[in-house]
Amino acid sequence: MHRLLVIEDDPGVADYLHQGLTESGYAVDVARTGPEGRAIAMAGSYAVVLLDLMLPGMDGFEVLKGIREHGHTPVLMLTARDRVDDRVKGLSAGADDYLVKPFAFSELQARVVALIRRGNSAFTEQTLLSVADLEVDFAAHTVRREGRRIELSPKEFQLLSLLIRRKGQVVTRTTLAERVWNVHFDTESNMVEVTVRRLRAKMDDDFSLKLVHTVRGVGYALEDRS
Amino acid sequence: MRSKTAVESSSIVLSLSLRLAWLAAALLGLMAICVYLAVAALQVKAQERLLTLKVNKLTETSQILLRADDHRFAALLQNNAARRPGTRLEIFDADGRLFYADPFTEPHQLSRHQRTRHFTLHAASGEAAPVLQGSFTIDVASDVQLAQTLQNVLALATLIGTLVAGLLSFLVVRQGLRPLGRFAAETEAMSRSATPGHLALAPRSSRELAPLVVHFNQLMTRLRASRDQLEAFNADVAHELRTPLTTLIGKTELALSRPRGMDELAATLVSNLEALRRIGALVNDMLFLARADGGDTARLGPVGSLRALMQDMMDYHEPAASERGVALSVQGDLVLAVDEPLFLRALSNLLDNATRHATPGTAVTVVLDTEAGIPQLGVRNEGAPIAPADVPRLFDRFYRADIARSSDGMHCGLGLAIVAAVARMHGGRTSARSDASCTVIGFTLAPHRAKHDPMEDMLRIDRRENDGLRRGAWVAG
Repeated sequence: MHRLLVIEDDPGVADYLHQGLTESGYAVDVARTGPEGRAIAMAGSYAVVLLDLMLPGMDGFEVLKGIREHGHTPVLMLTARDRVDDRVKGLSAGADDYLVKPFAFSELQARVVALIRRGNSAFTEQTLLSVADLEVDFAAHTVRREGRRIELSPKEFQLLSLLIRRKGQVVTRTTLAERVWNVHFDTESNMVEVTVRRLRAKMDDDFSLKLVHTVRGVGYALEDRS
Repeated sequence: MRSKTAVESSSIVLSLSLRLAWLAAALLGLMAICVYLAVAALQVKAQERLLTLKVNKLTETSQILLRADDHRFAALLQNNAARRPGTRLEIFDADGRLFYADPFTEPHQLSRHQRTRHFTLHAASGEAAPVLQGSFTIDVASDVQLAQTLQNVLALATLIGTLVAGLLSFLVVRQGLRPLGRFAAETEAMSRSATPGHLALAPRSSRELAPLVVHFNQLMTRLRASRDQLEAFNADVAHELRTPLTTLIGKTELALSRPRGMDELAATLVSNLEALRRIGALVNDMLFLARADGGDTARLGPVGSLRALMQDMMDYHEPAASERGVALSVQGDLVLAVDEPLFLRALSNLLDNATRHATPGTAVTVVLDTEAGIPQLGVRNEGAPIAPADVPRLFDRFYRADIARSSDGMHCGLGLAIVAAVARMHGGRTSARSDASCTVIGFTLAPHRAKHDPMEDMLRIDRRENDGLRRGAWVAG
């Protein structure tokens, strides 16, 4: 089990992160002030440190400096400031990733997974992923179910790739819009629904085992629920 | 506050009159010194002239008398001694023996202020004639006294002049600065007033103050306009937030009012999430507009085809449009640098807007072209025309021409305001026209802003990766 450290002074956010990440299967420690966070981060061994920028006692950049002097624990910065300059400052100060509040929990989860993978040097990008009888070959750009080849449009393929890379997790419509269509703002469009519908028609409708699930009001998840 | 103002304003008067007093002192002092020096020089000149006159007379007399008879000369000197009051004559012969001297009694008793001329008396010719050495001294005590008096008078005059100048300066400066005092009093009253108006101070009250008053009043007008706008904006925001908040509170209370099954609670949460999304979208849009107002500018990407850039966005809007029976298409192309995320956001808002107002069965067309050298984008739809009075206000925040349809989906009336902000950030402006046949809403772009930001390249990947929350992705969690 991976250990995570959350350094966050706001009790609401800290509790929510603690609960959410614990439910996602991590061991989570929480620090409420800058100095406390730095001390805990430097004493323990964590897979990822989630660091708020505005902290009492010592700001996030100071804490980050302390952590960087000590080792290479991946640090994910959380902040309400999202001016590009702040972002550059965060990343150049040695943060591994940067997430702007308020953020989607699923987004945070995905970032944490990515950081843990990145920290694990043995990890190499897999070219073949499968769930039940579904196989996605990223190198050949092919999709098969029960060994039968399924033709997808490029957008459908991208969408399926995202779902299978985060299999078991809920991927929000917003994340899909961003990653597949590069749409970074709210729109009226139901493009995500339409594309998911088309994708299902091609890869789920003809099979008794349904793999793409709708999570009401949130998004979609790909998993074998049988 | 008041006393501080008073102290500061009187200190201006004080320092000004002090400075003027110093100036007066310096000038009067200089003048006094000049007068004194001139008088002193004139005195010396007069004394010298007197000495010259006396010695010349002595020389003339000696030339006549000396040859003949020394004793007659000495007797003459002695007889005339009474006619030389305030002077002293001493003559010695060549051997240094006293030839003649005025007695040390009145009127030849001199004060210590003296001026002396030494002279030599020759006989006109003849070697036998003796050579006499002498000195003629005059008493200049009266001159010295005059100079002394003059000095005192001048010093006193300088002092009094300085004091008077200082006092007059104080009065004049205070009088002159009176409009400033009124200005301060009026602005102070204004700062206490709940509804600050204009300064009543007549602009012509002083030439120096006039621009200040005029500019101050202009500033107040602008401040008031922006305050009114801000207040209206805040009221609108509060109003917009109130609707989703009402839903949230009501549905949550309802859900908690009696025991409910999991499905029912989940349905409530889903509906709450929808309301939260609307709030999130509103907050993000407002933040975006606040930054645009705060001077954020576009970070231009590389020069490229806008038509190609738009393709994903067109695809993305396709299903929503076709659901309404509207076809999307692009006409023309432009090749230039834009801030891609901003540009696409504006385009997306325009497409949303056009699709919603298009008559089913018609087409929405994005037109990219150049007019008079200025590149522009317009989104054209066919539908009910917008009333001419509404056209100029389309880009106002929270402005809706069609109140009846205001509550659909994510639209809170900031879409076109964002388009206007994006246009501004690109150095362009919005354009809108509407008639019975069609409505075209769009914006122009500055023609040559090819200077693209190198930092943007660095951030491009980062932004794509990290931009979870340019909008309201969070509530989706």
